[in-house]
Amino acid sequence: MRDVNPDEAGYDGLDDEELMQRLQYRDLRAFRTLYARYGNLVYSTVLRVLRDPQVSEDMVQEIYLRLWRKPDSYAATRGKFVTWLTSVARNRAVDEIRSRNRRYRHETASPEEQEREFAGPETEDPALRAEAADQRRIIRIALAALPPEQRETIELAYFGGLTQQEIAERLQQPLGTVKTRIRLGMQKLRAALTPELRWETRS
Amino acid sequence: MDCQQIIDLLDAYALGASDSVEIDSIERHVADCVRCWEELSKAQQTTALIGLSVTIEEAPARLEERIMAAARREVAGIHTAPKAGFFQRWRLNWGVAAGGLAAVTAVALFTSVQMQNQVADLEDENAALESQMRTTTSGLAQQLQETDTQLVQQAILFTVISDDDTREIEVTSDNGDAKAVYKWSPGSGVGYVECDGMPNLQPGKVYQLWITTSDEAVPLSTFQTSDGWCQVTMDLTFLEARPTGIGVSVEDVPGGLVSPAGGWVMFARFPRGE
Repeated sequence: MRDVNPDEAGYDGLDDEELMQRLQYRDLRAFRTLYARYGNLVYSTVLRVLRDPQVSEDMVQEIYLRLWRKPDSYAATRGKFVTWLTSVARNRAVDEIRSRNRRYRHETASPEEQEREFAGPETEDPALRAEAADQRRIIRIALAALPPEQRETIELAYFGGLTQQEIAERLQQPLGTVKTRIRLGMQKLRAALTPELRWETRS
Repeated sequence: MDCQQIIDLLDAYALGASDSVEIDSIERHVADCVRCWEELSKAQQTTALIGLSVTIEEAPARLEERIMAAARREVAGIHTAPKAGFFQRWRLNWGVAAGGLAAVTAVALFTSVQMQNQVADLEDENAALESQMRTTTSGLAQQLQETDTQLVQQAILFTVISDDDTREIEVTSDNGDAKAVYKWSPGSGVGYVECDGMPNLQPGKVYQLWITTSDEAVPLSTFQTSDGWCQVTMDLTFLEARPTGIGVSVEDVPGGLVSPAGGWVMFARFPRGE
């Protein structure tokens, strides 16, 4: 028997949902294709939260193997696969830093590092499908357009896993100010991302 | 709290940044309030999109092979830790199986030992390759993938051949030119098909194995033949329903998902009780 390699087999032409269907039947080529497509994105998300390459590698392996064992944990009604997968990665990484008694807290990105996140065009991951790459560009533009203090507050919550109280202590700002920044920043993001949100809901 | 007060808290809640008192208030409120529940869904969808903004860092090349090797090992190891499915419910009693194994013939034992050695050799080869992967090259990655695939296939073959309760069924094409034998281990849920006399395929086509149940045709491996011959291993532990038949079809690359597109090249129904 001769194995059919992923390119030869046309797996690159399958969409994420079709690949996930194939995972139900333990299709290793579909699994490899999903890693090729989103492995860097998942790794980058986990690394952004944990800021430790070795621990991040272990966690990406854990996340992908969970996908392999339980492909039905994803339902298309929850939105696009890539959005769901990055949420799983972020939530798992945040759980990790919280379970480690906030050992990583001092390692969350500095305001300067966060500012550099959006300072100029980024080299895009060529493995990402065009629609996911477009969506990423739109989201990065929307985040970059926020006032820096609102963006910083939202990112400390999302990628730093900090509560509003912890953000207030870290930034030495009143709690009420932090709450306002989150509320206003998220309102602006929602307005800027309305087409993306419709797309997510439609899927 | 009224709806507007709750709505003001939802973005922080979706970000996981609320304190425990707020979490409690929100969760009690949205459980009974459709409007706020919908607002919470919007907040959660917006939050989920933030993850896509991350600056892409390239994952180490070895990570892909680590993950793929672990997935393949799980497939290979299914006979020791099967999932809860049809075959688990039909597993052999291990006491009976042990007694049966003690009675296998010398020829079967010899075959088993040979297979065991092959598996051990492949495991050694796999371990060596895995160590070399630390200084990874794409050539080594390819070798490791092929070795791992062979290891999975050998483990399944070994499981079936060494099972004293192996079953088999013959499958023949309508014109009788192509024949296949499906052998499987009922206690482990794995098996393999050997076929002969299969016609060559046009470019862009593959053979595909299917298992049928009373409700559907379940797609399995795609394969190509060598001089009309094939050997394809199968892992059916995921099946929840009782299998009723086995067949081979010809599909467009990369293979079908729903039902055999052009009908069966060959098909056989399992005798009742199998």
